[in-house]
Amino acid sequence: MNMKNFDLENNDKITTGFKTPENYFEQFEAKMMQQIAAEQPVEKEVKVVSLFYKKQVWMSSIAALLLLAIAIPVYFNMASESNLDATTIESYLAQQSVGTTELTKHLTDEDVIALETSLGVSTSESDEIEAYLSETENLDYILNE
Amino acid sequence: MQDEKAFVLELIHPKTQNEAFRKLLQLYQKPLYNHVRGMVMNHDDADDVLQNTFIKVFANLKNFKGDSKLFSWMYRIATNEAITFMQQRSKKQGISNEEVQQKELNKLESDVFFDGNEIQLKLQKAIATLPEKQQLVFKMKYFEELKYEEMSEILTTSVGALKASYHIAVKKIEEYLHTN
Repeated sequence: MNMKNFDLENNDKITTGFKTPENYFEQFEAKMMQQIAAEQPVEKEVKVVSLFYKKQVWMSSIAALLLLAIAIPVYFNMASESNLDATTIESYLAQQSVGTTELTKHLTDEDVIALETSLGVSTSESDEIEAYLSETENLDYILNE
Repeated sequence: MQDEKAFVLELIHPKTQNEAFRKLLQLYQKPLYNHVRGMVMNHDDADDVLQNTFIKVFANLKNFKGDSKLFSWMYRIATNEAITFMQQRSKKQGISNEEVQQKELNKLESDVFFDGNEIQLKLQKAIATLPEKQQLVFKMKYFEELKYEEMSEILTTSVGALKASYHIAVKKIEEYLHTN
């Protein structure tokens, strides 16, 4: 073929030159049919999974209902028990050893003054006691008594 | 195909599916192989791409709306599969699409499934110098002898644009063959 007057449209057709192995298409057809067959049972398996999933949903909804059935009465019982009366608190405090620090922590200045007046200890007296204590040499000893 | 809708239904229905799919393979495996082989160049890669194509066709038949012909729909899938395949290869090797193609061209001479003569090899080299889309248009028209209307449906490009593209491709190839 003369390359100088090359004319793709009017010259003889040039083929690709590509070849395939012998019986390639027969084998390809068989291979594809096998692959397709292999893909079909997979779909059935998917269905099994979806059924199992539905079962799971059922089981969790039953569990949730059971939980509610137990939780609701417990909640209402607890709510009624929270209306504590003074005697219950008193007996609780009597049974528990509540320390003085714990009690004084909650006292306001007014409470302290009220306590001082009811006990007959005036502020001036307590100042005197403090002054005496600070002058005493055996302060450590007294404090540790 | 005389009644494509009926054939598609046969392909979807579990009872008729197997035999219909066999018929589909017999009808289209050769033209689709040639289409894919023209793009990826060597036989083993074409075999891989063709397999992926038919698996995808099988998996998506239930979604086939019939907006286009089954034939062009399958060509479109095959084209996309071949393009994806080549892109993955160039990514893996860290080189451009053109370089991948050049590598495949260089392997052609020693390929046992290529028995082309000097002019056939030269034509392949000339095609490789064209932009990707022009290459595709040229191969589909010249080697695969598809009609412009068919190509238009496959490539979703107007017939006019395809004709123009083909003529530019022919001119460039002839020029290449004259000078090399």
